[in-house]
Amino acid sequence: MNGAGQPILLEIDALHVAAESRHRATPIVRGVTVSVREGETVCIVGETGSGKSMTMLAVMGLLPSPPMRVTSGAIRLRGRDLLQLGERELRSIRGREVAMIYQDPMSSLNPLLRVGEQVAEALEAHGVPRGEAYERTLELLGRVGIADPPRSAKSFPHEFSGGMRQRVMIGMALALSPRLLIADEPTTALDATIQQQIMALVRRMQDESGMTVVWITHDLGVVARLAQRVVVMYAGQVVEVGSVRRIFEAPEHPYTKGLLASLPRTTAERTRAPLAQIPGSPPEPASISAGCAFAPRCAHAFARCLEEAPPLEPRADGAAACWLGPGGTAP
Amino acid sequence: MIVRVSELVKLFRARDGGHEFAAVDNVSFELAAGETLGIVGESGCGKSTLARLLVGLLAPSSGVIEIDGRPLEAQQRDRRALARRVQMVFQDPAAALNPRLRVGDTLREVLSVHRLAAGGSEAERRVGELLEMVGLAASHGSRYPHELSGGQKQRVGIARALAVEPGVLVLDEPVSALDVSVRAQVMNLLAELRERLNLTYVFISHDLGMVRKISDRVAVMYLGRIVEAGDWLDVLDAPRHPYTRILADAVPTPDPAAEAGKLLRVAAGEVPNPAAPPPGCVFHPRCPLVEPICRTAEPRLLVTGGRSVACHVAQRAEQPVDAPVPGR
Repeated sequence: MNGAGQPILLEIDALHVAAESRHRATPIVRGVTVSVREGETVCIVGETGSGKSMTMLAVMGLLPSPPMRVTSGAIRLRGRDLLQLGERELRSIRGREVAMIYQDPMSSLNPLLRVGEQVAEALEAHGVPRGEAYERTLELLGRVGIADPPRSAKSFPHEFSGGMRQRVMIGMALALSPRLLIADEPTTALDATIQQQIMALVRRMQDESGMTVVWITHDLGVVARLAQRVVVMYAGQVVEVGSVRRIFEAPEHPYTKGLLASLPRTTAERTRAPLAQIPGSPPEPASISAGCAFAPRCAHAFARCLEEAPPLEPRADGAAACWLGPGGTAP
Repeated sequence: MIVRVSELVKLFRARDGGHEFAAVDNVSFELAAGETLGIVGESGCGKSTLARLLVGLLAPSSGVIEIDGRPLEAQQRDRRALARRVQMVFQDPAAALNPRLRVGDTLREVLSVHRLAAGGSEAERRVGELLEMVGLAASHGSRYPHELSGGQKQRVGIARALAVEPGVLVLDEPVSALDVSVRAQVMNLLAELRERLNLTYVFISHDLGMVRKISDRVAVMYLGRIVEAGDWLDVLDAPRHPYTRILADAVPTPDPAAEAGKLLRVAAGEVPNPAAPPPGCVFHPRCPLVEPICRTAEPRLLVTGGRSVACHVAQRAEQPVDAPVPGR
């Protein structure tokens, strides 16, 4: 399923998140608007400090608070604003409607509890009767490709490899057939062949259930393999949105262009020419400049870029936030 | 040859305290001055142990590492001078720098330990020169590591390695911990320094794109062994070992057209525990081409089709030549 023409499942609307201390509030997510359709696979790409993880943790109602707090905006799941819900209502949505997997599965697993017990416990917490929970657990472990479920269920998390732990997390996340899976760099710590297994597993699960996937990554290879649509974030804002083909073949934003140009070519001929590089490094959240946050690193920046932040405006097959016109021409 | 590694073995004791196993098993290669050898492989393949052996952080259990034609031995008088010829750049520059020392002091310390600067003013001049060499300003010398960005920290890590005027740099995932938009800067710096100082690199990475960009030759490791080695284009674009093929397929490339249809193509299994390698060919439990002989006999690394391959099936396809050293 590619999502086109499907109803909108998730709508993040002008979301602002700040890191608050006694003396000041540092903006981390600065007006993010993203919508995701039923059945789609959307990749959110960004570097450290781009706000990609905080945006999706806000959707889960799991921001590390304090210091993080949603300061304004709305997050609608099938039209219902999650920011208006109480903790009890949110808890019933987590798991049933939205589930999340993380980069480090070890931090989400209890090291003292056997794997089967904790999966069963999670199922029971969502109302699966005690008698059924263990049987459902074994079935889930089998579905996510864990060999010999009855024996594996008796293992402790540390006896599992990183790839197997991530499989367990996926099993738990999908236990209640959520409509939306948020995956926050779930393969970054894994070897290439194991990463490929995990990506294929999620896609198979998606094909079976029609689930929607939002996958956060910094790896443009993963994006090219996985995504139908791409959201590029920089310094707490969305700078470009588009179909995967359009983003890679005709990027609009100078940051997206620069990132793609800086990657080594995969063609057979090789030049000794240096890689195209973006000068400088991504800004710290506390020192984001006025105007366009990318302007200090942008080769095309002009006076207006330094004064006024460009809005996200429609472009062919998506949108971009840049004062340069479509195709990067001067306005 | 600036580096010659022959039948290198490093044994470790298994965590349960019992038997010994080889983290690096009979590895041989040669490096000419100015050349770059890319080393790829997944967890447990021995690439980090190999790196530590090359810079003398670990002593080999058997086998020889020769630098400038002289074997590196534990007891020799000029060991220090010889070992200095090979320096290492680490993956995580933040962890590799002392947070309490200003950048300039870190570099001055290296110069003083190796008695490379006659006096304070000469050290000062050399520190400034090193910082400029890696694209920083002399004024960065008065900063602490936490005041630098990730890319700048890695530049300091490179400057520190260069302080002792080495011939060889072992680069262990030198850009993996950096932001994507900063990686090209550091890769370009490495390429520029290689030309300027005629450096020889061992470039260890899981990023096949970067390996492709910088390497002259590539060696693929699996469970402590080199399973395939040769010219970068041969190994990366026309791999002969089934593991190299699987790895090349598994690593996604930033090209949606080339990636189409690859998502559901999956190689089964995981890397076995290095402390308990399978019998025969260590890759046989995951190999799509496995034959009975693979379960019992370990294949030797032989030259076939223009590169070295340790695979019974690939070797049968062409007449192999007995040449266990994947050099030129």
